[in-house]
Amino acid sequence: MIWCFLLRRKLYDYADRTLPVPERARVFEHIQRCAHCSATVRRIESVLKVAGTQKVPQPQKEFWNRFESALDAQIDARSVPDVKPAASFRYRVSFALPAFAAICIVLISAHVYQRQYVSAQRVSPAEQRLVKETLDYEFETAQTSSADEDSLQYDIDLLDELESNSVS
Amino acid sequence: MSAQVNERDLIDRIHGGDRLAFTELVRQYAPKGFTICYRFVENTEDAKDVLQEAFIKVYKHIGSFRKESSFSTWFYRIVVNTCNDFFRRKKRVQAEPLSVSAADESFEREVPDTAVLADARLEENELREVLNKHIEALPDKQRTAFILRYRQGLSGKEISQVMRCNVATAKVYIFRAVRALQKTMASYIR
Repeated sequence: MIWCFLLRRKLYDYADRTLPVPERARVFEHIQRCAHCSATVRRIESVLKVAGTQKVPQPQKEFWNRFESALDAQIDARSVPDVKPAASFRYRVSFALPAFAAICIVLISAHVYQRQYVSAQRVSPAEQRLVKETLDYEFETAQTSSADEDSLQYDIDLLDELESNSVS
Repeated sequence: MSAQVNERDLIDRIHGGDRLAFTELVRQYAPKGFTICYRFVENTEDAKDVLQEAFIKVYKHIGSFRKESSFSTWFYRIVVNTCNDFFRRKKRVQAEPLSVSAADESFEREVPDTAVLADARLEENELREVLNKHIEALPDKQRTAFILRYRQGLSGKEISQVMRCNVATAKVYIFRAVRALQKTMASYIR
């Protein structure tokens, strides 16, 4: 009796005839000895049998004609909106909208940036002079540094020559 | 294969707003749908109403049907859900308070005396009626799984597809339904 609790599911599978053969034999052996499980299996089998005996009437053509016209009338009366666009189209739309929004944002940002850049170009004469002076200074510095590099190279060459003379 | 192609073609035409294509789909699926509805509600008039409701849902939501899955599974799901809605509505109506005499009368009419019934073996039709009442009282998922398995004859895999759960879960629902029914029917079955 203590094992009966564990057998509940197996009793159902047994009655439903979905139990593998070896297990079926074991359950059969058990229900031969256990009145409680035997009664449970009998009840389950009865429930399944009664549930499976339901007969469905087959309506005649007239029934379906009336059904169709009633359905049409109901669809019209409830003013069911026309069929929604296919899912694939809706997905395309749902992807297209964010893409369009992103393009708009990029264009607006570019426009704003361009406006800022143009305003940066519109400098006052004093600022223009300052820029020119700065550029000239940089140019001169660059020239000087290259001259220094040339003189350094000259010194290195001279030392090399001296060394080679002393060795010889 | 050709039926499937035809079905896809019909669905495409319905997407395009073709009402005739919808009527054709109704003609194809109404008998199947009626059988399922009848298995649930056990009454021709109610089955017809539930089926109409289900087809209206199909018409309204066919845009959300993805063609990767089978249309019949999608249709089954809508019909089953509509049947469950019907039961919920029915329970709400039954739960509304009645006058004392009316309540007593309906109680006497609907609930058989179990002591008497246990002695006198019920005829199969009566037994089926009692069973139907107990099936109605089951939770939605257990009722759906039980009816699809033992009345509609679907396999565990098909039930899992209709109920959108895995096969093991569907089997658990069926087992629980059977366990509950065999307990409640114990007094009627000798």
